[in-house]
Amino acid sequence: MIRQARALLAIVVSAFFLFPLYLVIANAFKTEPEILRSPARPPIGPTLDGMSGVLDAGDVGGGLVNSLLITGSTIALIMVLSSMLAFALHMSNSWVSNTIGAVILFGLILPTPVILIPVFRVLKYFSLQNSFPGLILFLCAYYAPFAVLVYRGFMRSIPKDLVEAASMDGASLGFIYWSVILPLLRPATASVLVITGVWVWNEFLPPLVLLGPLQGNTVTVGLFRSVGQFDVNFGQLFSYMLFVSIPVLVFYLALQRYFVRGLTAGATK
Amino acid sequence: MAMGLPTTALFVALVVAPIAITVTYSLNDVNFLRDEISWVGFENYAKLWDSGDFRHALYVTLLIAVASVVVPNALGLLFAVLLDAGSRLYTALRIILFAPFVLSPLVVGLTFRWTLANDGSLNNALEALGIPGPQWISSPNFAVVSVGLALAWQLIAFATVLYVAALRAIPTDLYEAASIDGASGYLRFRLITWPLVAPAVTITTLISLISALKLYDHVVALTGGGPGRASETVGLAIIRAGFTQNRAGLASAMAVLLLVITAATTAISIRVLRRREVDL
Repeated sequence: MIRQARALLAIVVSAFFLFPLYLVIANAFKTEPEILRSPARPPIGPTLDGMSGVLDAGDVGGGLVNSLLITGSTIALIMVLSSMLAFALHMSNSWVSNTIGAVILFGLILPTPVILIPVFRVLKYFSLQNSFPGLILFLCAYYAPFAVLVYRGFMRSIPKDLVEAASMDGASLGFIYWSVILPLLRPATASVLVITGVWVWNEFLPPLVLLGPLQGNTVTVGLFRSVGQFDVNFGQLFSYMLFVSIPVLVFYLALQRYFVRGLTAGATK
Repeated sequence: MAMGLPTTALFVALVVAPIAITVTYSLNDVNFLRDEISWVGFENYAKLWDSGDFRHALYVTLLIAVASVVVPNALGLLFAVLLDAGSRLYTALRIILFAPFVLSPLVVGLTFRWTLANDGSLNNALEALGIPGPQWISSPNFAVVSVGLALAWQLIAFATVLYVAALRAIPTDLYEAASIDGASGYLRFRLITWPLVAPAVTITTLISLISALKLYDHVVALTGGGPGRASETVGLAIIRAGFTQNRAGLASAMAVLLLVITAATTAISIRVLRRREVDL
């Protein structure tokens, strides 16, 4: 009896957390009058009007491609750059590397609005303003501290003897990193990819500011810009939100085990 | 050490240097349109001190930060105790419950705007229960509450999953030994559970604090900072001053203050919470 009551309560709590997502999914397949009459009702006789409408009217397709491109390049770069730095910090114990390790940690707490104005100026200095590479490089720098933290935590379990043995055999550090360390880091890499992937995909302010109005939008910026436009057509708005959400949800569900493990990596050191 | 160079250079160019530039801008009058910059000392900070709008934005941000630390920690632990069981049902529920955390804050804000509208699902449900619902979006006080709710909804999901992971790592024989010694449910929680989830408290507190202090996306999607500027956060104030009004000096002064507040509060939290982890 108590067991059933507990299960019921657990289901009710979880359902409560799922409600907004349910709203997005249900209303993406309903007609405008249906949404307005009873927003919480499941779609009876689902329609694809909203989905096809938003694909025709807006720039969802282009936005999805841009977001995929930006997210993919950013997390691939983060993986390489952060694991390299983490490895360098792991192997060295000089004051320089200790300072770098400490300063990098500071990046974990930095709110994006604090630095976006000067970041735009710096990118402009390198002629990278309003460009995908500029945005990608900034996101790499911004999320590197988290990835370095995860990698460093994981590296504590890799014995230094292993590296020393390999370098005794004449292997260069670069070779050891590539053929010994990177394969060992695979679980940490999975965590880094899925967590930063979700964060980068959902980023809104950096693409809004750094890409500017002339470049193609990411899907989040596109959603934001279309809110006014779709204020009258909720079917299309909910469809747009579904397009923004599906990729992250799929990515998360596929790698959810690594998501939680990565987030707790810093806590269990 | 050479392997760390590219990342370090990138980090210096796009994070460290921008922080230094922000500090410099905050002491200058900066006009990008006319490409002018002139030294004004602490004038921008003095302007902020006199600005009722900024003080209100600061108040809103700090209020949400406090609520975001307390509520997700408390409810997250409560829900985690509920969901900490071995069967497949609970595993599935835990995966589902985390989903809010991976959703775009914009999507979360927009769905909340829809749900909390005057004739939205929440007020309809309240009305069915005979309770008159408040104006969640258009009343100044409730707009702040709504923004806090949207953020909390994501953070509670995060906290719950983190606490479940911490609870599941506690060896069951600890509880068994305590039961044999006659410890009550409350004592077992106080002496075993609470100390052993300490690392999860630290992470939840830090993530919640940082998310609340940089709050921007949820607000833009849900209230746009309104009505008027009632629910404007410091993040919104920075972007409005810096980009909409072209007052980079003033915006940078706000940014420096936000950075100092973030650094101080996280440093204090880490100090307090880590001590708890060690002591117990």
